[in-house]
Amino acid sequence: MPRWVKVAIVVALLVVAAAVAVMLLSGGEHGPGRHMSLGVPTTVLSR
Amino acid sequence: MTVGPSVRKLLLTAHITVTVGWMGAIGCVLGLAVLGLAAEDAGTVRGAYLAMEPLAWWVLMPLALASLLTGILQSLLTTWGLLRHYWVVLKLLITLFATVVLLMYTRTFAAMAEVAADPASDLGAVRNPSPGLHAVLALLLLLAATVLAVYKPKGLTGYGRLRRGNIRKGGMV
Repeated sequence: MPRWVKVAIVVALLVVAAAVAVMLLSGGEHGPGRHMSLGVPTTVLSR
Repeated sequence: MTVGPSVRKLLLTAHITVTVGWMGAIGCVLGLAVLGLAAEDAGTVRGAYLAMEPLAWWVLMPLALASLLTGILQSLLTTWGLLRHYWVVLKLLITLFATVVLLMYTRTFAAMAEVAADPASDLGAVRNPSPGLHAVLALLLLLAATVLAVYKPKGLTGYGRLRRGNIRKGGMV
């Protein structure tokens, strides 16, 4: 496997690890689910 | 199966056109995201998030799928192949990943549009940094794919080496 592929894999893993860390630090609130609860935006539910 | 130079150039033109169009459409989302965060007028802020949903369905998704399809066709119908070179495999994975994330993110676009459309919702709840962040990351991913396509770094996969060995032996092509 060429060195550039290994570097790309390491960079991809670091990016994924950083994304997971951000998600964990923000309380797991990431993705469409944080805007919705049973299909209704949480901001609408909270009113 | 490979195609002649005229079909190859046609496929390449189609692939570059839709991919550059995809990047431009992501740029539009980024512009709207900045507008949604920075504008002071409530109508402008709500309008920015309302415009993102149709933009995603009518422009981003078709261009993403067209980029994926033309890329796969081009690799399958030329000597590059789909799984023979690391740069082609990596580019395919990047495009697949970006398309899947975009498909999942359409739910977020819908949720943001729903909040923006409700005149009773607070402007602070309408503003959302998420689309801007995702647009920047998507542009970086597509930029990486563009660099791969232009530089075509060397490196055959195991399958590619096997195919090359078979061709040299005059066996299965």
